[in-house]
Amino acid sequence: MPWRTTLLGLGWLLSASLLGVVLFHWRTELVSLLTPLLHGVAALVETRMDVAGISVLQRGSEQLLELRLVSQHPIQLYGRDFPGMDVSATTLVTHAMLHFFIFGMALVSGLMLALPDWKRGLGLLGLLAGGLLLSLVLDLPFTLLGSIEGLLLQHLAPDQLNQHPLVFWERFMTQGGRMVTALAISLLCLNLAGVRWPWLSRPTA
Amino acid sequence: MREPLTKAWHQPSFPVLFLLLAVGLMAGYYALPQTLIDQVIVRYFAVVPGAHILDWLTPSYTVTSESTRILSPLANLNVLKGCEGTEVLLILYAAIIAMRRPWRATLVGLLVGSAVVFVLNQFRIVALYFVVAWQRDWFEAVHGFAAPILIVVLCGIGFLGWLRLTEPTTEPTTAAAPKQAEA
Repeated sequence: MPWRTTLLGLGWLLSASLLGVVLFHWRTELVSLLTPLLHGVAALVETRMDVAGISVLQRGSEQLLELRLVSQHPIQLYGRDFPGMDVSATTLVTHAMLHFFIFGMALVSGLMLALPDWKRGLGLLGLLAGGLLLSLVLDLPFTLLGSIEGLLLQHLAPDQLNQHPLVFWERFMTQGGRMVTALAISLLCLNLAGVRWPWLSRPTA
Repeated sequence: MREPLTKAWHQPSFPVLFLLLAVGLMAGYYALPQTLIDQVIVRYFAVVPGAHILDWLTPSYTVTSESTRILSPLANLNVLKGCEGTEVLLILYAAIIAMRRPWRATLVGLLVGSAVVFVLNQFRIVALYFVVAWQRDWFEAVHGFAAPILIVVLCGIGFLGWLRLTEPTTEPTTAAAPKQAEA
């Protein structure tokens, strides 16, 4: 029915606007909640140095997520010896909000289509929550680690800069990859939850 | 009576194919020489048209372009790789191709999608220019959040519209006759 489609569309647009405002307003709090998880993943991947911290900081009018790696003891990096190391990288907190927004809108769309099947709706909620965490974990710690690795390689072994997987991943994520990852995982969650989109189809005779 | 959208959409293979295509397209794009991306794609698909629009919109200021920068007495904007709209374009291409529609519908989707992304990106550049000029504090919000989300949402709506318009109307099929076997 056209009125139903119109209502759904208006509801969807209203939800998108509200979600955008809410996410931007509470972006610092939301990302701060994630820092223990991001710290754990970064520590798991980075084996040469210690993760001194992953935290939200304010620089000018920008909110940044900073990852700091340190080594208190002598360390060898790309064939060079250093008495110690203290290196950090930052990314905009708003970048994390893209994941929240895409998964939030996938939830809104899924619930609109799954209702009144509450069981399917709950399944979708669980899947999307897991998918969101996966999407964030694939982005933030790896992007920050890739940024640090790129910095090190640029100074210590520029010939290896384009071959390092973390550097490749960082470039992919910052140049559209985070949107692709979030969209693909959220679509997979919608499909796995069995959400159907019949109202999109053209009526047949 | 309505049919389910398409098999492709409902199968988990769509998101996987979409992801693989997007990664492949992006890897191919970023394998291009940096000079080609900056001096041809970024310059002629984002900077030059953006500078012309801004020059027309602000008659009291002369807006020019130089390499990847939009220059004026009001504000200067450096359009970096990734800000020329290619990422959204490649995401849209991946989604359209991953739907595996007939080639004509796919071609129309790609062409119309390219034009839409180009126009949306010009709006984004113009908006960012005015944000830099008048409300620098909003730059992070507009550049890192509102603009990419708005473009993705609008492209998503356009993609769903393309899906609906190009949905094949299938004729009712007759059930296959059971196979006969003779002993």
